[in-house]
Amino acid sequence: MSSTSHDSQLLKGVLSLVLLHLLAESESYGYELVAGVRKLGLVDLSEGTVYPALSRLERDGLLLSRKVASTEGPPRKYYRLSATGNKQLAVRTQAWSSLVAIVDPLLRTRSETPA
Amino acid sequence: MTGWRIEIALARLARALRRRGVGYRRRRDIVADVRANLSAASRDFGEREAVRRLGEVRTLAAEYAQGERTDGLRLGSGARAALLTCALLLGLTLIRIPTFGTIDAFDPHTGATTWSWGVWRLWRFGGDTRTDTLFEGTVYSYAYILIALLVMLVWSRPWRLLSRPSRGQSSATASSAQD
Repeated sequence: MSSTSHDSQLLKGVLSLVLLHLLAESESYGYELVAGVRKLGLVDLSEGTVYPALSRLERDGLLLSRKVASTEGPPRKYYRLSATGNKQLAVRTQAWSSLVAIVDPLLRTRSETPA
Repeated sequence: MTGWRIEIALARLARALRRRGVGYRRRRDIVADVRANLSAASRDFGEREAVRRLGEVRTLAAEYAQGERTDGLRLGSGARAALLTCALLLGLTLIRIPTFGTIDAFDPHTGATTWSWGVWRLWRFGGDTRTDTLFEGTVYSYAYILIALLVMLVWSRPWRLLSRPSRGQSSATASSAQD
């Protein structure tokens, strides 16, 4: 787990990929996903960013949801990946890997070059 | 049962979403989801901290409203309101309230036994103690057309079309925030 501060725009860009990945493992609800995201080390992501992102993914058809009664409070909205979401996860993972493959060597070269 | 801090935050969120033109059902869904999450968070951190972690309510509403289909011109609501208005006007013509013999004059100083109020050729309401009538009314056809049109115009909120960003602008804003 890392406590490094991350660029908020960069985080927003990868947030949907992270959420899709977490939801591919098991269905979950908003607050639990926030905790999951923080556990990964992305501590800068707030609830106010994650909840609307889930809402957008659901609206775009990548997530399905169902209400589950809770003994600890109001019914929770559990999200899971749809078939489209599964495909999108594969596509976005591929895109991310491809991006990292291009940018990472470049950054390494730069950091290894003596000033 | 959620606490008052959470409910206040949710009421502010609902208001901010309404201002951004997010429809009633969508607003209800969003608020219910946030309520459940705040309730879960408050078990870990307490209500005050859970609300604080949610961040600024207006920013949250803006995030939710990104790319959301907002209700600009509400023609359906306008038409329903116009129909309801027509029904109410019709109702006014159908009711007659008797005095039950309790009123001798509408004005004790002048001893007037009748009263009436009419506006041009729209409606005329009145009463007459001689016929034991406290209230009865006539609504003319002009009123049905004019008032229903006015109600439809107000209820459809056409002015929202002027203040809403164009589709291109809103998607550009959304994509720039996503980048």
